[in-house]
Amino acid sequence: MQNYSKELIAASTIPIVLSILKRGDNYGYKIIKEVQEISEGALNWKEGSLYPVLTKLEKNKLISSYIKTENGRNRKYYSLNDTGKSFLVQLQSEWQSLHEIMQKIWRPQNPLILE
Amino acid sequence: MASAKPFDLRIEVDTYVSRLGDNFLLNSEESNELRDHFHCQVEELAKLGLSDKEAFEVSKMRFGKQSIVREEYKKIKPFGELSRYLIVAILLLFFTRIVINSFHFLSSVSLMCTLEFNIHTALLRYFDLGLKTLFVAWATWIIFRHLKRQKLNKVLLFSIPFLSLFSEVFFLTVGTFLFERYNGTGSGVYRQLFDNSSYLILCYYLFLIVLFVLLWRKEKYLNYNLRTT
Repeated sequence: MQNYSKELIAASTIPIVLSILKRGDNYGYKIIKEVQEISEGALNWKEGSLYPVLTKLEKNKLISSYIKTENGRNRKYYSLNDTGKSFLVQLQSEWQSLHEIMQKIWRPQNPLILE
Repeated sequence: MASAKPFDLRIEVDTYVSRLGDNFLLNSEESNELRDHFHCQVEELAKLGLSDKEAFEVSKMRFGKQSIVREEYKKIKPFGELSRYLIVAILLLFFTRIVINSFHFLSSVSLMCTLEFNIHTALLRYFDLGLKTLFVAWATWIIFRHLKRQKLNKVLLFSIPFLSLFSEVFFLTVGTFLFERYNGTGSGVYRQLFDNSSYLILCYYLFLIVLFVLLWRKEKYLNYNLRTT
């Protein structure tokens, strides 16, 4: 299984979280589970690190939250707001562009590749 | 033979999250969110056949180091802890006024009791000291009972400024009335009661200093422990 560097995981956390929330409102634990499911276990976050990220996104007004009672517990749900949606579009464009650049660089015929 | 204490998941999760959010780093909503996280995961792992204790141990491992999570939260709210310390300091100031006003009021009550129930003047000082000590013991018991639960009761915290205001007004009206009514016949015994209050207030300040040092050391100990966990 692929092991990602800490730096890459940290950099990808915000776009991943926003993308998950774009699919619909969700709460912390479920977001972690969905990421594990989609990545087939490859993206194995230290789960505690997600919650400060969610707090940060909420503080930056990219997502909003509400409390819902489920199974007798108050659960904090997050939803992506319009600012978050625009920010996600911007992030997607950045990641796509970066991906294309990397692809070009890594093409075997590219002289930049050092043997 | 003493039986082993049964594992109580709710208490364990509460303790773990309280420790993580120590010194008011997390607000109640954030703490509840983390509690929900652990309960969700334990429920899921229990379905696979793990006991609550085992599931909680696995959850803690998956959660990651507390020190790292704390650092992440601190990055988001660098003034969070400072502002909360400030709130505690202001509340302590209000609380100190309650204690001082209560002592003054109790002096008036002692004076009243002595003269109404014909308690000998020589015993007045001890009666007053007993009354004030009882008050301190009661107040300490209330505070420690709340601290032991590791939950700062919001109602109690919010009531402190109002209680302080009430104590100021109450002492000014009832306390002064009692004092003026009974001190004339007390021939200066109020001085003794004032001394009692002064000694106890001094003890209170010493207690606050000791508490401050202990909390300071606890913070250092916790920081060390969290770094090495």
